[in-house]
Amino acid sequence: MATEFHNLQELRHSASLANKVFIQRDYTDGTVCKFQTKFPSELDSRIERTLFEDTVKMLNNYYAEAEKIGGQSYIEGCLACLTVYLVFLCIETRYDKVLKKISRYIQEQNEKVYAPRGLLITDPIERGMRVIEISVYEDRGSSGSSSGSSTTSSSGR
Amino acid sequence: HPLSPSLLSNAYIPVSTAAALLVTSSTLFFVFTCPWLVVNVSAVFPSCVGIVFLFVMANFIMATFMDAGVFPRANEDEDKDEDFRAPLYRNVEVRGVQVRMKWCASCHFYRPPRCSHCSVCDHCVEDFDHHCPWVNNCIGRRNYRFFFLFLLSLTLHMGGVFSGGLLYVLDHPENLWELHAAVTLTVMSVSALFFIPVLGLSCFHLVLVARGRTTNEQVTGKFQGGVNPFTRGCRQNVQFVLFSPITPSVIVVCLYQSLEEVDAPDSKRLTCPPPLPPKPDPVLLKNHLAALEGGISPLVPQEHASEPSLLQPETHANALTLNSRSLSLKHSSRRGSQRAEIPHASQSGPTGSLSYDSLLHPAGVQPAFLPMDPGLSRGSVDMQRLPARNCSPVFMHINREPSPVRYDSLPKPLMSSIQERREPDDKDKPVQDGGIYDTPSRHSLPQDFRGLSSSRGPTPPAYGSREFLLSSAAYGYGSRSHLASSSSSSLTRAPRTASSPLHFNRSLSPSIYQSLDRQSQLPPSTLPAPLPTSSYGPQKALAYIRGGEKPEPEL
Repeated sequence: MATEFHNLQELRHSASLANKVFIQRDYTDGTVCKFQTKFPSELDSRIERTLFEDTVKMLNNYYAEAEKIGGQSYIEGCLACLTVYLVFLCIETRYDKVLKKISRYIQEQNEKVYAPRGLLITDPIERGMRVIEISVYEDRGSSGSSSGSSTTSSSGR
Repeated sequence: HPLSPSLLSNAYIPVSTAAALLVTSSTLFFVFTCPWLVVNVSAVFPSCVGIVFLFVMANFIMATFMDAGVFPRANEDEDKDEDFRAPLYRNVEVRGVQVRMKWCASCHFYRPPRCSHCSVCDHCVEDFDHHCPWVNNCIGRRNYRFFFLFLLSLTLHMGGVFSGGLLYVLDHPENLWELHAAVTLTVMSVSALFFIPVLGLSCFHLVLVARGRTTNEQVTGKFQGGVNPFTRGCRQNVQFVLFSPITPSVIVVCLYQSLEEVDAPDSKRLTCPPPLPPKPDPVLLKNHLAALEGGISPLVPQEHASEPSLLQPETHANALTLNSRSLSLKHSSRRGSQRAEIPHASQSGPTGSLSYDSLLHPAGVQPAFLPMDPGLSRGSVDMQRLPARNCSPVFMHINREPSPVRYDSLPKPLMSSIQERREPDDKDKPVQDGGIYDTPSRHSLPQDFRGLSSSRGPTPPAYGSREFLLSSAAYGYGSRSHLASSSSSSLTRAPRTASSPLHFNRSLSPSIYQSLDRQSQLPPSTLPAPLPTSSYGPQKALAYIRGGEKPEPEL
């Protein structure tokens, strides 16, 4: 029963932010960057559980890949020492590349999965890597409900 | 409102002294002692000392200027649930050990494990180690390795300088008053004087690294009786410190976004979300940079000018909360752009998935979305002019260029308006209060941050250590103009008074008082095992006070 926003052209003016859901970090493995895959109840009616979990798991994989201590990070570390850290001015580290990938992934997910359901994911880096912020949009025009009651209406659906 | 010169200089004294001593002594060594060493001992020895000195300086500079891993303050809407009912602590399990996350009243989020709030810098730092006055910066996750390597290489360097000087002096015992020998003796004595403390600190940090602890945790005895859930074993700990990838500097990302969002509507109009960024054009970039420099200056007065007007349609409470953001530039620009964005969304070309576009473009400034009450955004959409619209249109192109743009030339007023820095007046009074450890903060440089804007069409510029320079300007030496009256409230959970309406602290809300009550009512049994207990001194004092303890410390 997710609200479908197929054609928002006439609703564009009226799409308004109803609620924000915050996916917190999962610290069970220490301070590595990892987000909880627990499905928040506010999104119950908006998106399928599996889609959401896939997104978060993919993001977790990306962050794990970025923070992996392995061959490339060793090379980068040694190179940094040898070049007196001037190498940071020249090259893009693997973390940077992965962050770009994450950005593209989130953009793509928003486009394909979340925006049609009236949701929008904010890149965690814009929130200090502490939360994934999912903005829940309510269509004022079609549902006829004010955004004040949209929270209840979205959860009630 | 600006800091008085004396207060400003207080923070800079240790770092200037350290830098001056280091550079001067080493230079004197190279000029006066090394020529003789090259001829009479070997050429290898002075060149090794030279290389080590280079390493020392590089690590010193990185430790001084790199962003320690600062968390930007949370947006209003992130913690609205926490306001009146939220507990002061939130428990989380880390590798089977219960760890307590404390609510940070200044930053408005629960501090992640190992995160601590530095009172001198007035921000939360990830994996907070300590605040080092000698580099005038916080030491945290992102720059700990540079600090650690600085200590090790400095020890080595001092040893080398002392040995070289000793060789010289032993060979010229008869003319010690001659210039070269006198200088060498001076340098030797300086080295000898500081060698023991530096060596001691190096050994201390060697132990910390091996055990996987931060200075903060060691000093407060966090894992005294319990197990450290953050350690991965000695080898892995060393590996983590030295070779883990450097995480992005989030604070610079947010700063960058705040600058970008000022022109968000225009940029949205110009781009549908491109899959790849356009190739940078060097000439264009130069023009952009010039425009950026020119465009930023009017930005600041615009921001502040627009603030009062933005406040008018809002309720009193919201005005206060909106004002409470320390990154006032960021938020005012975001507010403005958010408001102005919605009408623009209708103008954006309908391409592809309309739903995404329509959500994306207003939501492109979504990270900046400040007002929680939708009525606010709705109400003032047409009324609010985007602040600093008169920024050169070239400015927005910069944001989309992936290539590095140097922001080190951003005017100081801009940076100082962004930064809210605490007075370093209480840096000598470390307060240990439930995990808040403050030491005078250092400046921080963000290393290779990536200005990601996934929800935005324009691609952010490439990360790189040029953003390093941006954050040095933003976060570092240029931004000393903050409140003189910001007291130690961030430490003690007391409400923080602000001398400027821009920095009005939300912690004056009743929630803080309620959380204080809640905390005092917490039964001790709910507290997890690894309590951030105070250090040995107060514990012993307590023991004495109780009277039943032996007066002799059992060591």
